[in-house]
Amino acid sequence: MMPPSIWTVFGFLSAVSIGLLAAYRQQMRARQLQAVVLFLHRLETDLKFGGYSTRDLIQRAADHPAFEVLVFLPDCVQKMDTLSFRDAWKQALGADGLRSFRASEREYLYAVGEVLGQMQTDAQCAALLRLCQPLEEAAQEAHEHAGEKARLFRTLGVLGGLGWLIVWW
Amino acid sequence: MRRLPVKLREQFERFPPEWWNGVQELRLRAGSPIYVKTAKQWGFLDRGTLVSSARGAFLLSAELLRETFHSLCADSVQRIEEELKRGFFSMEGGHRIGVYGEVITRQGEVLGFSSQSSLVLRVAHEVPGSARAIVQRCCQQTLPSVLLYGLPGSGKTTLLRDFAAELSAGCTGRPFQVAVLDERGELAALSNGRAQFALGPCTDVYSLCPKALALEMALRAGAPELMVCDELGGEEDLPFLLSGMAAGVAVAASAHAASFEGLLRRPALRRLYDASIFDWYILLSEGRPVEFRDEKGRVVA
Repeated sequence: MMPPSIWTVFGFLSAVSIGLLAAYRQQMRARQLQAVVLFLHRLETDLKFGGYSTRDLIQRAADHPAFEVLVFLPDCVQKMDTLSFRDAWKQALGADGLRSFRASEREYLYAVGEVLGQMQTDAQCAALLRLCQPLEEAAQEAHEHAGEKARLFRTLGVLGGLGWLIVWW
Repeated sequence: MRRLPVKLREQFERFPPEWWNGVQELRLRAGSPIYVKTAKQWGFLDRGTLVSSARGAFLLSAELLRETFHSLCADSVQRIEEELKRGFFSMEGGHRIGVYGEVITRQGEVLGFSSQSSLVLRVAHEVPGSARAIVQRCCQQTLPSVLLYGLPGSGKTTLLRDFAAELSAGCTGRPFQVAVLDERGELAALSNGRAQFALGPCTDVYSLCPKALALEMALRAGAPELMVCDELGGEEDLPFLLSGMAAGVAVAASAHAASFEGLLRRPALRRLYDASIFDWYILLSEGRPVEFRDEKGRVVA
């Protein structure tokens, strides 16, 4: 039996890697959505009872370990040195790419920049709650399916790789 | 200046940095030219100069006005909403921003603004020694209660601040314990626990707290000899001042009025006069005292 060519091995490893990456993204999506929901709830509480400036609100969240998966938060704080919050938020989200989020979820996140610090506290809280609801549903769904989808993608990756080996070896 | 949005800042770039020291007021109106008042001149902003005619001057767009509002409040409307209900807010440095626009009300109470149409930026200044003439005339043997009055821009807050600083520094022979009840955040411009204006070594500050509550706390916390507060005139001021007087605390305050007669036409101030709260009524103009009256309202100088 001939040893597999380098391309055959490469194809096998690529298929497995793609499966693992897709599985990781599913889990990351669930974690990020949960963090976003928690972040929005925390914003609401801090707005009502904290008396913080918008910069402090974002800074506090950026420093909190529960939100370390939201890498756009520290970036936003940094950008606020030179930009308005709205622009800093938009640019930080743009730089992050939010690849694990769906288009509608990304829009909800972008909309936070139009709300936070831009109106009276009650109006901000109501708007954040409105933005939070669909994200909460998405987080719930992602959490429920993350495990099985991750397993599915991993299996598909391995099977695809094996298929590739069978065909080309 | 650094808190203005970049697009607006560009309009001022031709002015030398020291020009800002003389700026007293900027009036920004959506769709209109920017009115600037300095110590020496006034005019509309036009390509880095001040012109007397509004025609052809730089027009401020509604979008840039909105951006300016959010920039001045550091994108934190939640921090200023209580002040906004009274039509203005203060920013770091003690500068005050008056707001005009579409007002949201509920049951006769102002909740806030849905949009802004004009902003009036009043730049706070510190003029050390500006109240010396008042101190020399009024504080010879005892610590009197004084009311500084004048038109907007006559220097009431600046002189009041310096009055506190002079007495706190002991320029009459010994330092007095001064409590500044800075309801609007303009007198001391407290930031991270430190006053951004010189108020003297024996001065304590309550910032952004209603005067009556601040006085109550000050009396418990530190037994001040002089309390300093800005902008009297509300009905709620009489009981608060009376309780201060009862505790043996002298008062230095300011009020809007063009003349002594005008002052007495305001019911709340009339009652303060009838209650003989103040020993001196001092009319200010262009940052200087121009008329001194005693507690009976007689012109002394």
